[in-house]
Amino acid sequence: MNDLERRVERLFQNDALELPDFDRMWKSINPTGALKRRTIVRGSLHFVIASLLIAIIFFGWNTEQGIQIRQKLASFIIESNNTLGESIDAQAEKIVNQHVTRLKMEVQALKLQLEREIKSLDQQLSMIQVVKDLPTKKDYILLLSNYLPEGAYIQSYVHINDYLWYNEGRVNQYTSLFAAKYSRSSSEKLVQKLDEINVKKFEVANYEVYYLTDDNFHYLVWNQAIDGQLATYAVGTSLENGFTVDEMKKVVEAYID
Amino acid sequence: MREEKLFAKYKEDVFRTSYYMLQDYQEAEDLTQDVFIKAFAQEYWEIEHQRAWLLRITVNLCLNHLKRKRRIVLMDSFVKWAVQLVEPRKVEQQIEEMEQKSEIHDLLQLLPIKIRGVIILKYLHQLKNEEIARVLHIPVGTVKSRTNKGLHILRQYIELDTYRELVLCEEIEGGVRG
Repeated sequence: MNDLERRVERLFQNDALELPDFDRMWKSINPTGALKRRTIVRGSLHFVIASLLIAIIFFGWNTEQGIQIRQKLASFIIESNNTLGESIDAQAEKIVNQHVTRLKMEVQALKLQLEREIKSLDQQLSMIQVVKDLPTKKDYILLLSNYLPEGAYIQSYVHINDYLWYNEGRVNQYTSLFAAKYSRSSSEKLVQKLDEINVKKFEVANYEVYYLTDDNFHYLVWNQAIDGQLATYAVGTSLENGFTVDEMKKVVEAYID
Repeated sequence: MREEKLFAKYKEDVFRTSYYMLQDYQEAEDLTQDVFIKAFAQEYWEIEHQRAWLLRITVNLCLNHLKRKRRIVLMDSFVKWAVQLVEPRKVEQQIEEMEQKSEIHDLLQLLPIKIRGVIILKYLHQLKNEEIARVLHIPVGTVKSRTNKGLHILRQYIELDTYRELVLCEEIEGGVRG
């Protein structure tokens, strides 16, 4: 092991990572506690039966006390068995019902998510077409989206690596047009702030579109509600050799339509 | 209870692995629970090397999680940048955020996820190459090459960081003398 390896190992060992509340975690992993309760019930049952058997041995099999205890033991076993059986059946049914309900909810959620993704994908695909149709100075177009199919995303990512470098959330060396969509609670906050600091805005297809710029890049940002879901959309490009504001407006207009 | 024993024995290993893989405390907590729920659904008492088996589940779940998450990472970066553009964070706030993360956290962040997995298994859990290969279902040669790549990246960063510190010290000394 060389110095570097020892250093990495030491960093792991010396990292004062605060551990979570594992008790709480265990409770949520084992929400029914069914196994534990069943173990306790079974343990108690074994103890009672063992005690009664010892008492029979002590008093004798055919003595008056022995016969009484044998009768008690028999009825106890029958009752306990019924109770335990019912209890386990009830618990099993409850657990199964819980799982079925949860699965139904998950399926429903997945269905909704899938529908949303398909809708979003349709929008993104139409947007790609719009962007491709534009008179472009570049021979490549990047489209960043969280809902593109896996293959398309990876392809974009490789491409991005050549021209873009994401560092602490800031875009550097940006030379091409990109379009982005994100849906976050920050949508309203962002636009609110833009209004507060009086950012320049245009009206495109009846939407208020904000114009953001710094030394290297400029962006058009707008909020749009689709099917009652508010999302923020952005189109951006480099100032120096990217698209003009009017060209970006065309993208926005086509996308909103 | 066997479940509770298994949880008590390996909870820390699973959590640490998840945390270093995902680089997110809350997500690591959630994923730790998922690992044990998945483990309990299987006949875990028949597994010979339970630790390795749990680590395999952990790493696989982390990889799946990150794969899903990767799709929205770029968007998150843009949101953060855009929000920062209109609402710059205070310097103290930025320093506080940086201090909360440890050096190993920062270093692991530099590594691609598959390499990160190997480095964690090797230097946190001190597994041998053959054991890592079994856990990740990859050839020993791949373990070695991922380790080498990982160490190469870390070495570059550490050297650069040391250089930056030296430059900073010289600047401070220069300032004091001046």
